[in-house]
Amino acid sequence: MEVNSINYATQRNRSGLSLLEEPSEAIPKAKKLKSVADDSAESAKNSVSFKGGGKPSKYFWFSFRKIADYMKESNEMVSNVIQFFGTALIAPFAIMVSPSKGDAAKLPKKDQREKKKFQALRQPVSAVLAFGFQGPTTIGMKKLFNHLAYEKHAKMFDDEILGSLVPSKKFLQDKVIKSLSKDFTEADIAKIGGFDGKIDLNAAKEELKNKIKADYTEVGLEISEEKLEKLASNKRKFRNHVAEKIAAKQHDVLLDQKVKEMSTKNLVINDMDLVTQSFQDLMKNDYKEEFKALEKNANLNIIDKFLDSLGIPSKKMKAFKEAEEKLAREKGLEYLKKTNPGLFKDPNARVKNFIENRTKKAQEVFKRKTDLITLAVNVGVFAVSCLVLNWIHPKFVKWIEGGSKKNNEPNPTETKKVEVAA
Amino acid sequence: MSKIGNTLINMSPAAFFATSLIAKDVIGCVMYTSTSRANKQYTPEKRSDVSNYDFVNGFTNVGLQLLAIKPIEYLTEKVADSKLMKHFYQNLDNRLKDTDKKAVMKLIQNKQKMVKGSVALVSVVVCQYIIKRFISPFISMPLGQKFASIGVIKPKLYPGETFEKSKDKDPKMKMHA
Repeated sequence: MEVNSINYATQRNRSGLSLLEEPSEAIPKAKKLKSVADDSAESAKNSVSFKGGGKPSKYFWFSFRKIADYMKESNEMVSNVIQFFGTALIAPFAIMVSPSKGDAAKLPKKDQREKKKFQALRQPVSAVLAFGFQGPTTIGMKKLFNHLAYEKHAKMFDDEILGSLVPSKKFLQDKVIKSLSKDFTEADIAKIGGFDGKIDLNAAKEELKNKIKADYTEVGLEISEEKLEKLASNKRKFRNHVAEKIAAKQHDVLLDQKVKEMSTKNLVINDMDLVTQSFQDLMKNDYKEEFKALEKNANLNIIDKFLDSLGIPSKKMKAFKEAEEKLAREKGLEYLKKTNPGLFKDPNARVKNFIENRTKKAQEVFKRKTDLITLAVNVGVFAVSCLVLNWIHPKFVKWIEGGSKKNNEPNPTETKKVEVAA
Repeated sequence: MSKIGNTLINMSPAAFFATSLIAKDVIGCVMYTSTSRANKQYTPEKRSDVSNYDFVNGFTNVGLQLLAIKPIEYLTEKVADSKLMKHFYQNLDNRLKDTDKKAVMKLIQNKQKMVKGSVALVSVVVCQYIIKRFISPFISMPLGQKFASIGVIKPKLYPGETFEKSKDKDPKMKMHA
């Protein structure tokens, strides 16, 4: 029974892969699923010994999970904060404890310390500047691109596939959140439009409660009714939840519209489109032997592979890649027909699948392009922060030294004169 | 140019992340070194010290991060398979007995989310805190001093300034004394 349910889970996910998952996430997910299922069966055996050992607090795990969740969702800001603390606190410490080498090692201990201090004081300044300059630009650029992507249909990044784009649920949710005040009513929701306008707020609250409860019970924690009520009645949380529901409905409506539009236009959709790049990778994983045989026949040498890694494929490599793609498509279609026959009976399902795949691909490409532009802008910002660092650092050192001299020595002017003379 | 752009666009996320990180470090190395080398507010000696440190630090940052890729991969795999991770899914084992397949699906998805998050956490902590912020400055401080005494990066001198290495200074002082 257990084995069957695992198989069902993996099967379901794999067959629905091209429909449900983002291509970038789909491959590792599908690859991992098998091992995950094995793991869980294994840990079921081990779980007895688990409970016996010294078990860390459940609250610790819960908080760790929350941090990890947060890391996954908002990577950039977190890494900015992490970098800030790393540069401001750890790097100066590392510099102060490092040994002296070269001519500096011959200097008296006090001078060695001075030199290190001078360098160490540069780190917190650069941390503050990096955080102050790069944080806002990263966030600002992201917002700008989000705006451009859907409001102006990203014409500045001419992309032939953006024509079949449907806004993501996340984007729609953000838009709904903006148009709702914290104390919203059902009348406000009806104004939003883009869907049937029917959201039962009481039911939504119950749903939110269940969601929070599931979050706790998953790690084996219990939550009291009072706390649950308190968490669920958080206005922001509730608004986000309702917005999510509205966005899902809007997304369905938009997708249906697009499907109708494309079906009436009688657009010819190749079977190729059903089999995306990520699906091909999956096939390569499943039919390893056949792909290996193909590679053997191609007789590729090291130079071919090296040139390919540089982005200059040789003729042999090109032929091999074409053959590989063809095989992947064949196997992919075979697999789809076996696992998802509905896709080939219902033309609308195919169109829907096509649109979703293309949308995801377009979003992926768009994201990469925006990443590149953000990187370029960040380099520019970085140059400015370099100049500012060189301007602020000497002043900062003087300010710190001035403070300590005032405490220790009564005459700061005397020491200054000595410095000038030297 | 479009070839480079295309390869950048078609890169895997991890490769792109590594490339952008290293590109930033290389550009940072050039910029920090060139600006600190010509900073009027520093004395010539400090110009030499700081710019040599910046120069070395750029190389150690890039080099160490490149070296760390494989160990981090190994480490993150270990974490993903560790008992620590399995602890979260103890409930999964119990629920696998249920016939509610949707719940099982959701739990498996949650498990993957968790593993991904923890992997991100481990790699950031190792890469940022241990390698880039501790080992790299710890190595580049003495190396920078060595470079300064050899004179790899020479400070820019403005009119009326002279620069003697501290090595030359000490014997002269002793002789005068």
